[in-house]
Amino acid sequence: MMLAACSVWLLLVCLVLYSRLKVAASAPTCTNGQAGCHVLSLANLFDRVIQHSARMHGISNDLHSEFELYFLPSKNQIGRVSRNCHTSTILTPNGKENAQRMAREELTEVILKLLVAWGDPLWHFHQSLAHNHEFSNFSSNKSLEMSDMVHELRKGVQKVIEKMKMLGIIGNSLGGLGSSESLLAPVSAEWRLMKDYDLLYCFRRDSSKIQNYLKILKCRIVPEHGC
Amino acid sequence: MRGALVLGVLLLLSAAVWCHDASPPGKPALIGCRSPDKETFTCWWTPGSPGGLPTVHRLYYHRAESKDVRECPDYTSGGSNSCYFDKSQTTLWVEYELTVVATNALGNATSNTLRIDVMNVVRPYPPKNVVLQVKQSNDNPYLFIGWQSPLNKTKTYGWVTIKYQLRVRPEKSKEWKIYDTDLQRNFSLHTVDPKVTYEVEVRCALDHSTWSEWSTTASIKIPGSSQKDRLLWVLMLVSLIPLLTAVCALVVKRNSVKQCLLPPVPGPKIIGVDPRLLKSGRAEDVVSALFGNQKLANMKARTEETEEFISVSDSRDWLLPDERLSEKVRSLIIPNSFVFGAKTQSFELEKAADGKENPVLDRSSSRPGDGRTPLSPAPELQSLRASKDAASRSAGQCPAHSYVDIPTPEDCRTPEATSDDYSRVKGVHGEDVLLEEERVPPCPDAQIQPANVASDYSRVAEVNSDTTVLLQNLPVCKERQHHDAGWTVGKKPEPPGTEVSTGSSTQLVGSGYVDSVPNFC
Repeated sequence: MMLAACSVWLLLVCLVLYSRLKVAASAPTCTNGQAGCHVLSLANLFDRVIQHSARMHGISNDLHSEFELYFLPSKNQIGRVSRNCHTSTILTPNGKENAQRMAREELTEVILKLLVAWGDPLWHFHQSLAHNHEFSNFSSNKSLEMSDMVHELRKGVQKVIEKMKMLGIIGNSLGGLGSSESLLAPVSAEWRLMKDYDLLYCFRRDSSKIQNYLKILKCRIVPEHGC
Repeated sequence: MRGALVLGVLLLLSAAVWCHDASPPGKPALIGCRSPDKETFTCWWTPGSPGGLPTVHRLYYHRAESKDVRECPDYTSGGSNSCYFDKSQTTLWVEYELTVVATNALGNATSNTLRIDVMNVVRPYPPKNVVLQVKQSNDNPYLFIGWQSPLNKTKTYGWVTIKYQLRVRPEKSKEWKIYDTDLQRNFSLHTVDPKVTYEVEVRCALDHSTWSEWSTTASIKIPGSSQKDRLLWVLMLVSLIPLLTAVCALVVKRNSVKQCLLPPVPGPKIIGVDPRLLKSGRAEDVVSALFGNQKLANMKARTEETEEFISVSDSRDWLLPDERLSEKVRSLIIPNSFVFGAKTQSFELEKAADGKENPVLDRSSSRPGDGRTPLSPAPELQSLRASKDAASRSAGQCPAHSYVDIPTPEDCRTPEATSDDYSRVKGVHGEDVLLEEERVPPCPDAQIQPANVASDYSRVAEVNSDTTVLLQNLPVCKERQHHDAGWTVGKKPEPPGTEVSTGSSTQLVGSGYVDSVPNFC
């Protein structure tokens, strides 16, 4: 009698737990075994990353325009020295066709390199703005946001790379987090020489590259309507 | 010598003039460049002052990091004074340095150098084919706006993402309302008012590029609440149908309706007299109406009939109920009155012909349609009236103020029934009617003379003979006495053929009472 009651109670508990598990499982978290679920989440990841990069580019655009207004009244002057961004050494595809022709791994690596290269410079840029009372709080806040975004984006892209590796979309040739230091080292000295305006100009260009490369990458890896 | 000098001067002058017309070209100016799709771009310049000679413009460019100067590959695709760079020539994230050189026979001029990064000059063209449609959603109209991308390609391989923005305003307003539609190429606006015209413009941008120009304005008028209007009209029509049918029914059956609502009052009708002829007003018509042959025949018949009733006896037979008496009286009186009336009417007619247009039988009555005619009492006809009144009164009906027997069941009170206007019939002798002057009218107020039946009768004093009845003398009103005495005072003269007696003897007419104011009903 007691045994029967106990077993019934246990059974009920088990049922409740199982139903709970089922409910939990129906939430959008995929297990490793399901291939379809993986693809969907990769697309999601890509979307988030692309959105992030778009926002970052927007902020860099705004900051650059602000600087242009206050510090450079005349544009396109012949006398201006052509800028040498510290990331010029990184070979980047300069058009749609070039980017499409590039291998996925290569393209992904380029994106990652760019993101890594800008982490420190932007942080220091923000620091210089914050300490310099000439600049408004608005600009200072934007520079901080920009710096944070670069870091976030880098993490996001690394996650995407991991996922792609897991799915076998790209090979393991691509370096992980460890390679970031190696990427950073050769260019570390040059950025300190850049003036603020040039730095913003360079970053605006690079953030645009990052955004566009990510879009092309997504279309190649996760094809969808409009690609 | 001098001539040669002059010639030389002239030559120099002409050369100077000639040289002044032609000069090296003015300096052109590069306006700017535009890339509508992130894959190609076009640059434009404005030429400087023309040198008078044919000038050629050439654009040279080189990329920032290379020294390789190249010339513009396409001068035509972008229009005049432009340079078009196609896909193969376009490099993104690289600065271009552009210059334009204007050359003519005398020299050249170089423009300013333009440094551009193609990604910085991206600006799409406005969206195409903006379409406006008014659609219905649960009886509420909403505006559906659709447009097309300015780019021809549909497959962009993720390279280009266009976002759109539209603005709407009512026609008369000056403020635009802006809506972002992101990547959608259509938009539904629900906050629209009916019967208002709306203007819509759309523009687009590629990622973070500059916004394009606003597209051409499209406008549409939202129709008035069609659904509600339709319903209203339908309801109105539906409610009108029974109304219309009722009206139709009324029209069709107007006669019966008329009968129901306005029952015809039998008009006065003289037997043998056609009122239409009388109405015409012409003498001959009236005469024929009144004195038609058939009427004479009737007259004759009646007179024969009444011969029996002429003799008045004092027997109890005469104490009959009113109805029978009235009949007898009526039959007695009518033909006589008719005869009399014929005479008097002819007289009256003559009189009328002089003065008024309308004959005796004037239809103007205070109560139209009832056939009553408040005729101005003519003295010559008063006797007739009196006799008629008597018959009618005893019959229990109302006195008629006309010369015809109108069986109208109306109130007996008639202001016109002034007793003083009537005299008793004394007797009939052949064609003459003897009138009794004596009467006992009531003594009312000055003008009001209610027809008091009781006071119109006088008590029989004694029966003299077979043909004579003596009545009691009742007090007579002074006014009446006046009237009686000179009953022609203020009245028409007494008619001929009437014997007025001032005696107190009267003819026995009926019961113990003789109706002093005999009223015909």
